[in-house]
Amino acid sequence: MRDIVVNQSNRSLPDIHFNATSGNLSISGRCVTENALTLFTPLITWLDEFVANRPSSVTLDINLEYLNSASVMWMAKIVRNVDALRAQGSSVSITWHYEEDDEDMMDTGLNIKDTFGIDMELVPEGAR
Amino acid sequence: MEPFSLHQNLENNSVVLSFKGTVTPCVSSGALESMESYIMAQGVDQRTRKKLVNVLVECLHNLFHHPAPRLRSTGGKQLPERSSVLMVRALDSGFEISSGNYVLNQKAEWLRTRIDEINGCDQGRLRELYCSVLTNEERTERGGSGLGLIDMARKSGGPISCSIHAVDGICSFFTFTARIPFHTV
Repeated sequence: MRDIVVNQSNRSLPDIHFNATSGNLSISGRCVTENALTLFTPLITWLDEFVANRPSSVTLDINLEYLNSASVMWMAKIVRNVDALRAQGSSVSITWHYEEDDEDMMDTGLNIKDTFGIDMELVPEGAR
Repeated sequence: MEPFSLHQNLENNSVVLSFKGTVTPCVSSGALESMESYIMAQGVDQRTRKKLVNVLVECLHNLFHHPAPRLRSTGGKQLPERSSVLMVRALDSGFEISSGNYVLNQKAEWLRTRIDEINGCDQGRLRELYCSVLTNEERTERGGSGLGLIDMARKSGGPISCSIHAVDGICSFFTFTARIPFHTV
């Protein structure tokens, strides 16, 4: 399957690197799109195929400066789909990075983690 | 109206960003860029800056996804399609973000009830509400989320005020205002 490599020039959209071979998935930058459905539908479709291939190892890094409410549920869906790979025996690592003084972004990660019982590490980073 | 009067009016009311018209993704990006340039130039602290941008994003998103209903008022006058307003004021205590758009009367009442409910919640209850909406798959599939108002209340840390201005038997002009106080250590 094809990798997804998107380096956005649009400041409303995130950079996305989904590598099917290495199992390294990352979403970073800003995610404040007006059209979350358009942005996330291809990612979910890609993940469905990726999960069906039963990868041995997956690393998901989410490192966002801004995340609007319309995108939060989609982000949660991605996290849940990756987390579900544990039940298939995959080695899974999920990390939610946030700027160290950004308590709102930390809370958003914590809410996803707690609401869905996700094994996800929350890691504060130096301010951008 | 004479442009200088408009400028003075905005200036006297500490308005640092204002917009009237149709919110498109381009307008939204431009408004955010303009606001960020302003707050960077003013040396606003990082925490306040992030909260301000977060709430502004939600306001713009709301105006984009909830344009005016395409109806004629009872007087036969066409309501300006998708006309909405957005305003950010820089006050001594922080920022105030206000927006307004046309909505159906029943929607306006529903919004007011929803905002009253959210305003009545402490941060713990807001978190519970947030998490309960997060589990609603149906909303995700539709592309909207329903988290916007809760998110604004969480991030602003204060009540959202709203008002309904009657237009006719069908539509009202609905406004709401959120305040972002400056962060104090």
